[in-house]
Amino acid sequence: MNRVISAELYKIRHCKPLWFLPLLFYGAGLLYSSYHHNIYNLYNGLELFALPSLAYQYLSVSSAMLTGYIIGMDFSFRTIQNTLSVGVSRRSYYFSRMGVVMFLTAILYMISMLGFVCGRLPLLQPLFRDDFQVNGTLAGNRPEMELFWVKLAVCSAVVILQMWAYVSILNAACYFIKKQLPSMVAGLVLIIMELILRQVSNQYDLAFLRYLFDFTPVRVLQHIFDLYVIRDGLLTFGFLKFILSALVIMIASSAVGFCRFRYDTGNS
Amino acid sequence: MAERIMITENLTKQYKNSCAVDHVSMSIERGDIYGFIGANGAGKTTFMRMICGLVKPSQGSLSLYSAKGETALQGARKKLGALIEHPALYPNMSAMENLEIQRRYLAADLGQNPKKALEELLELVDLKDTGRKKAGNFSMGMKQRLGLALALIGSPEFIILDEPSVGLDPIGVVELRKLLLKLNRERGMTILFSSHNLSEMSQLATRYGFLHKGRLVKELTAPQLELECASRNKNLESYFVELVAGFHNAEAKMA
Repeated sequence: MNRVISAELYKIRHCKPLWFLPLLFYGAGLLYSSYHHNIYNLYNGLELFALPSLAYQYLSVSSAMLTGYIIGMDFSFRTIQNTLSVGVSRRSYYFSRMGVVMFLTAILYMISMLGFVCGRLPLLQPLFRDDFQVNGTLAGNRPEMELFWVKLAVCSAVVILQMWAYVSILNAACYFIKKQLPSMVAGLVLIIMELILRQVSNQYDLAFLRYLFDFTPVRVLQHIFDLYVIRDGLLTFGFLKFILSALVIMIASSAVGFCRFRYDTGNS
Repeated sequence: MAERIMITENLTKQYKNSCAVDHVSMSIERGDIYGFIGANGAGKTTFMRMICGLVKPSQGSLSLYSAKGETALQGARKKLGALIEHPALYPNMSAMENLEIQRRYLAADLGQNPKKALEELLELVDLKDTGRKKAGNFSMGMKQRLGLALALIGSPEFIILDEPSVGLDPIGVVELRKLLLKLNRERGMTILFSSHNLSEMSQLATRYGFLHKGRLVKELTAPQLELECASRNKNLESYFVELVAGFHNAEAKMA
């Protein structure tokens, strides 16, 4: 696996279109830090917890396009045969590449967080406010501040896990689509469809869809915030189900994608 | 008898509507330059792809350096270099970057200074002056030579080349022949290649295998082929055409 990871990271470092992504994420974090957003009220004034919610739009789009770009590249250029013909196993190839995309997604998320913090500190803006207005279902007391950074880390980890579930679905899709640009487009279509279905479920009060959307990163963050940050419910079923659901999605989609890859490369 | 580095037994690839490779049993000895001859669709590329692990055989067995089974073959393929069909390159990267990526996949140990080793490889295939030029802007001949360089990373003991002279000008064809002969004689590299340029092949190969509709119908050493051609007063092209015509006639009679 090491050699595949090494080669993939080298490719990414030498791929100019990807260079702007860290700047974009850092800049987005800075931008969000510079103004007060109503969504902060949902998080009891703890804006740092709200950042993933704000950043979700570009996080999900970037993850979708990044996955399609990196995974689809080897199919579009047929360079997959260079790799397999020198003894790299299909398992190593599939999971290493997925791992690299997941790693990048996590790094970009943290860069965004860094941008937000860096934006706040020079402006002497607090990372949390006293003038918050309790709103919606996340009403609650301010959490213990000694655990602030621990809770932030846990929330970030959960959000990253949700993004990884997206990445694993898109990764599997790339092995069906097998072209770079269509894979990137498919990722965008998935995100857009999710937005449309969310609007539809809200408008028409569709319980099944609402239940499904409870497992999307934005809603998961809100639930985690309430369950864990406010009420300290770490090892509760409510908390664990979001982790388990992401893990199940990752395992299932990886299995489907890998089986497809094995079938195609064995029978071409 | 020289060591047999590749042995196939009844290697077969069956697709839904056709049999691309039909029970091919053959072996290649260390130091051979084995030339595969066959019409379009004879099964040469499919056979080579099976050796490289890009296609799973439907039946039969394959051993490379006495390694059998998929896990052992994966290890053995580290000593293999291949250029199958058109070279697969990253068009937005330079020649050196393409080589470096392949070196990492191979985890090839190129000594203290891997960059220098890759530069020497580019020089060997006459691409040392390409600099930062992107592979996507290369001519067909340059791409072919870069593909060959990719196959030669890590000094493999056995290389598989599917029509390596495609896209090369006449000088390029001669240079390629000299390079392959040099690799074979100086480094003992074993070569399996296919080509439609039979006159070129006749100056290179030490053994020949004739494929017809997926079957290995004839194997000859270079001296044996020379004798057969001489006895019929034919060159390699004419001999091959006569051979194929003979098979077509035999099939027509059977039908």
